[in-house]
Amino acid sequence: MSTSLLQVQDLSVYFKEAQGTKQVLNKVSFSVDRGQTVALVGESGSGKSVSALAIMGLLPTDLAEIEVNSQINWQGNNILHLAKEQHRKLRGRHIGMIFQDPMSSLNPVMSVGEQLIEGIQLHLGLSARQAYERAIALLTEVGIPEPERRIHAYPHELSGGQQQRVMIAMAICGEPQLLIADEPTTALDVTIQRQILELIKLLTKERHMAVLFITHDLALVGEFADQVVVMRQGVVRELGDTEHIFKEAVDSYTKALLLCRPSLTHRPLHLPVVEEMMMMKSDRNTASHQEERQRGIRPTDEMVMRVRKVSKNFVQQDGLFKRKDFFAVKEVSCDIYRGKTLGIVGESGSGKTTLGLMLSGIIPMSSGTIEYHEELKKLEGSPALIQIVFQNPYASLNPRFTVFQILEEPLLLHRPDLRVEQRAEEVVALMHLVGLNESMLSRYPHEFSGGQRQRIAIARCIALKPTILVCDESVSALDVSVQAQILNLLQDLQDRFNISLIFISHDLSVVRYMSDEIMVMYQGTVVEKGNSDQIIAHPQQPYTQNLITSIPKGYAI
Amino acid sequence: MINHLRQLVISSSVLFAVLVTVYPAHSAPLKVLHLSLSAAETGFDPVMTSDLNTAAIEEQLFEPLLTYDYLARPVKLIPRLAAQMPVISDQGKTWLFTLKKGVYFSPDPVFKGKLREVTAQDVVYTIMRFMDPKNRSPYKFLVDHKILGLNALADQARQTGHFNYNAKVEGLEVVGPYQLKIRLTGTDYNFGHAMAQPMFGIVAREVIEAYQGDTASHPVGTGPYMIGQWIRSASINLVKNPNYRDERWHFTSQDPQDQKIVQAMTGKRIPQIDQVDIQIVEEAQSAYLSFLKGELDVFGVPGQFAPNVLSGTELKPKLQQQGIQLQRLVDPAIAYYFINIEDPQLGGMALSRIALRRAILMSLNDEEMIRVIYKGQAFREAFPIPQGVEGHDANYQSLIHYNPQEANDLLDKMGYKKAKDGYRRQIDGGPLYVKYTTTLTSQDRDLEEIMKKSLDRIGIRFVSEKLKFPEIIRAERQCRVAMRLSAWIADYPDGDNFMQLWYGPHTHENNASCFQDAKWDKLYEKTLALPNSPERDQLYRQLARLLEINGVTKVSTSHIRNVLIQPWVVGYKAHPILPSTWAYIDLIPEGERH
Amino acid sequence: MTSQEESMISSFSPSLWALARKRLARDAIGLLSLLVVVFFILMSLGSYFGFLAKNWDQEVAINYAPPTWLATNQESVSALQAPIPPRSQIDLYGQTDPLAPLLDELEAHNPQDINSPPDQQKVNHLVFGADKWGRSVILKTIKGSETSILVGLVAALVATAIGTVLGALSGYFGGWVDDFLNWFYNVFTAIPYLLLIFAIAAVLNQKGVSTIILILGLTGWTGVYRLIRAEYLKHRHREYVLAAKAMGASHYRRMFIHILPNTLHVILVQLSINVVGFIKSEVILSFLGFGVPVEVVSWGSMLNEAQNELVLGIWWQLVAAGVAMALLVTAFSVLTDALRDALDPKVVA
Repeated sequence: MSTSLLQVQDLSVYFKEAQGTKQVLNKVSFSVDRGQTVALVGESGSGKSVSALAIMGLLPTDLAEIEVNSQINWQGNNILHLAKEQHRKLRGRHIGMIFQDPMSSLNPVMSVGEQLIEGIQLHLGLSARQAYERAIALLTEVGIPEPERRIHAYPHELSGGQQQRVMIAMAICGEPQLLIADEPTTALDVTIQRQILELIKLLTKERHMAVLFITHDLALVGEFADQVVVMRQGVVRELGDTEHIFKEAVDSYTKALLLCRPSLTHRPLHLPVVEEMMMMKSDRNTASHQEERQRGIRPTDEMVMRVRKVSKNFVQQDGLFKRKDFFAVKEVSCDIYRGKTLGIVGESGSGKTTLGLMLSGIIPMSSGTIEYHEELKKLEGSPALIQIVFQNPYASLNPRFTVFQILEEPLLLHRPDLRVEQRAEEVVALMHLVGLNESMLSRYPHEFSGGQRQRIAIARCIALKPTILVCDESVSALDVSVQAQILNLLQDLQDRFNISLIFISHDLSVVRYMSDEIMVMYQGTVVEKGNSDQIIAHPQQPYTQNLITSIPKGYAI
Repeated sequence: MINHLRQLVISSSVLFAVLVTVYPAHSAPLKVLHLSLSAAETGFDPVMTSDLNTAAIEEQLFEPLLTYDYLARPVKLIPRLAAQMPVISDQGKTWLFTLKKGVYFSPDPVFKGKLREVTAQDVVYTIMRFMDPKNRSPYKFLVDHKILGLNALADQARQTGHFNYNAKVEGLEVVGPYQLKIRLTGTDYNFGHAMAQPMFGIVAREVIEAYQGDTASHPVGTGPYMIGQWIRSASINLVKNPNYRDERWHFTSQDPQDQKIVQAMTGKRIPQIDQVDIQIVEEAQSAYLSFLKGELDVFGVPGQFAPNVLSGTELKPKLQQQGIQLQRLVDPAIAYYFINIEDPQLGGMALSRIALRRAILMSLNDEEMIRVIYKGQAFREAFPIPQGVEGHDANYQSLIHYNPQEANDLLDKMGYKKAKDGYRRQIDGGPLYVKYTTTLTSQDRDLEEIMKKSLDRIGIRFVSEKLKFPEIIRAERQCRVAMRLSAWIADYPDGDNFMQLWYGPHTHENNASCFQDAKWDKLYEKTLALPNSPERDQLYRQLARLLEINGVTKVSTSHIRNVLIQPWVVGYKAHPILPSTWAYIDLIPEGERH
Repeated sequence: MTSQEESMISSFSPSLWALARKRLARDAIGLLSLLVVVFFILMSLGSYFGFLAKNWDQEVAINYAPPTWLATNQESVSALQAPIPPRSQIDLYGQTDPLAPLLDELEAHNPQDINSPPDQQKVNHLVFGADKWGRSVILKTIKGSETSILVGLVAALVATAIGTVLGALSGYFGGWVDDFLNWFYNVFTAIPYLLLIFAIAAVLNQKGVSTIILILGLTGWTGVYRLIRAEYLKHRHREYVLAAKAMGASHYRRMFIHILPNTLHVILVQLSINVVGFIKSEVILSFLGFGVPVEVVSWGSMLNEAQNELVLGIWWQLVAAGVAMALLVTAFSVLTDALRDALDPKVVA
């Protein structure tokens, strides 16, 4: 153990709150050896980020309290009681850190070169000339093309992936022995995510650098972590070699985490839910024995919506007088069948969200046609026809409305025939439908968890019993375990009301799980379209193939 | 800019010259008089002067032909640049002035180091300037249409755009180098007062022409002082004029209170004080505090400070102990209400309208106003000619007294019935209100309150109109002001200066009441042909009574001026007319005070 | 519907205001300030309807009668008045008075008309002192609250309403509506404030309390507009607004039912700033001659009078108006602050 680079032992942290203190870490212990990659995995509230901040010495001293006999040993020395100045030296020089959102970590008014050179001079004490050369070398190392040119660029001129590369360059400029990466790829597209992971892997190997990789996504770490620490609610649930974790997990939570994420091979009728699995204390096999759901469009299916050559273009100012059309969505055609799901998958900028907004009638189309089934023609333009569930459950509910008001709104607008008490009954029914208790009706959105909010948002959408429901990245912001619940809820609602879903996501495995048909979009156009299993199993287009290979496969696969 | 630089160079070189020439002679410490003015100077070209503050400084820089005796009360004209009083002949139509010899202008580069003596031609030039349309003189009226042939020259100038100063004017005849005969268009015994105004201080033509366009920055006169250091709108320093003639303090008085002054000053050379330091202090409070600290030597107390300084008519004991002296003086001015005879609501000479105006004037409580607003620093004055002005009658009894009961009864009798809202209507039921015009100052708000209260007493609706002062004057000239409390201060201490305020032909000029009554005008014209005499006084009394009978005017108050003087100021006597008397006083130098 | 059902439903949905009320009730300082504000409003209403300070303009005391707790050895100021001779004895200098017969007749009927009325007996001290005409300062302050609160509150409401509606239109619709309103705003703010006041006063062409309210209301909306526009720009693309759109909510409903509550904190703070500012502006307007007319009393006009009186050591009018104004303004600021917190569902109660 003494050879460990970093050793965390019995780390307990309390947060001071209005009423007493709350324990956020409970005797967390793990260690990181030289050159080793350790993944710290857990959902939100698991305490993984607090652990990282404690190691960096960045916990706010006025809010957080570290228990006395906790230890964080850096090369055998306890660093918990270091003075601020010493901690600062340790950071950067010996421990580098990269964060989730590179854009907010970079100073927008300084060029990336200036920021990099500043770091280099600070840590290594080089002259300006040497620092510049070093910065070029670093940028080359992290895979920035044309580093001599890019060194003068400002953060906003770089893509998200390049920004994160610059962040990595800054983190390693002091030649640290440990790199702490806090959700470094969560904000990135799947393909970029893979590139960044490859880069980190490469750097670890070349520099013999240890990495503490913090993520919520267990599948992500399988391919390159040596050790995995699974955390939940401030406690380490399980700790071990990656192989061990993925193949012979003992802890029920670890097993549940591995299973509740939709895989590309299985499609159970219901996704396993963490709570249920932990309650049952069952082994993993029970879940995989579940019946497989059959997907696919059958010729008997009834088409409810026919979308033809729908485009959305924005006029961009190009130079002083020239104007240029920019197509966010270009000539997309698709069909929606009753009770079936169309999955739309694509990376950011692919136009999938714009398409979703157009289909749900929130923004107008530039060109193209949408035709509805004969029976639905009378509903055209009405919100009872099509509804949309947004990505961010924090933003999609009016913070000034109670849940009751939120759910009452569609009824108020479209069911004027209802009397007050009928409306109240309807609202209660909706709450039950999405698995919420009616006692919560008088609360405001901020009092709910993300999953609950998304349930409320869904309840609001189905209040009018729409024929079609658009889900725009509706589960992307949720923890894996909650995501499974919401997917199950959507599935239940579809089964029950025969709703057609348009399921938009960047996450191919989720889309595959939910969809009968998949449409892959890239830069506004449809790259590939077809039966979901077919597309995943035999992608025809190189882009689709790339997308599929970029998906983290976990350890076993 | 260049002009300013030049000014700076000149003033500093002048100062230097003064220091060099004066200092070795007087080994005594420099005597400096410290004063404050409440508003910034407007520039020192006498012909363009309109405000009192500037006039006070010009009084020291320039000298007119005549002036007022320092001690004599009522004030008396005495010669200043003239060697003796003018010889008046031809029933006041011809005035012969003889100038003092050896009067020199203060040094200026224009004179190229030579002494420049004042001659009769300079007086002609000075008077002509008032009629030059380019100068737009506010005091043009003192000579306008009065001197034979001068207006023709002005008309010609208006056509040609150029005033011919070389022209011979019939009314301005240069008899000799030091003698000038002025011929007037009609009888005017008051012309001497015009020639005593500081604006008529004699200037030199070559100086005015050399500084064409910037004459206000280059005052060159014959007065006892000249400008030393001058920071515009902030401070003005006057230094002795080295070319000033040997003039001795020679005033006499029968008043026993003046004897101390006479003893202290007689025979001393004018001026005694070496420098006058004038600061522009707009805030009355800071000036007052400066005076209390001894930083100012003489201070005119603004009305609102009177209760701080006075108890009754005496100086507060605390100030008395400091040796501070108080001089109280009645301003030669009246405050008077007038009602516009052309106003559609209040005007006209019908009996009902006369009764209405009389009732309005009867509702005004002057005593209350004196007590509350003027803090006792005013007194009831019923005669249109104030104290200290020729023609004043101290025993005149007003016909109109504060008596709202009788006023109400009178209005009831005349048929001005009250409507439901409690206010009276015209006899024919038409609207009736008094539109009372004031400026926007807070004191005028008090006057409005008084007026509102007064009219409420007799059930007449009050309507206020607030205008800026120049707008009020314009409205008055157009006979658009229905009623106002106006004030008039003597330009010269003669009753005519006041009585002309109601002269019919002065409508659209100074006659704001627009009163045009043939009987009154005839009586007034009679007074013009008379010198100051009991005969004229009797006519003035008749005129005053007619104004009251017709409900045109109620003269309200005269004000008291309170001047505080530091104990080390010697020979100061407040003067009702002269804007400044600094050359006539002396100081105990700072080192010798205790 | 029975009352039981009703209560059940209302328990489902405590409105924003109901919740705010509950929270405010727990905020002691907020509650206190609410009481103060209510007290002032009641006071001004009482004076408006004539229950309070009805006789404020009676001159009950000598001028500048001091507050009682001061020494009352005030010297008698009644000046020595010369006796006025009866009209019959006045020399007319040979002129005839056409009114003389009439007046003679009147005086014969009413002998008391002959002489000026004697001075009324007046007290020489009052509880809170008297102003220059001998009117009670405390009654004057109560009467003044009527004008000041009316001016401050109504003008602030007008200004905030204009600013909110224009800001909402501008921020919500964007495009040419925003361009036009922005242009209007820019032109409006580019005009010097005093010039604007003069211009509006010239258009209204009358003086009085309603004019002051209009002037202040029509000139004071710009700040509110700017902030509300920014809020709407921020909110209009929020997903909850898009969700409302998907739900079929009209523009009006989205603007004023959905977004407006989310800008309430801004509006309330602006309202409070405006009320405070407008009560003070009324004083400035008095200086410019657009203040309250002479028959109306306001705190502004009282302070205006007081500045001349202070030199004479007469402080009670300043204290009365100043304390009343400071109290109301502070209470109002604290109240809006408390309201803002109470209305914010995110603040943990």
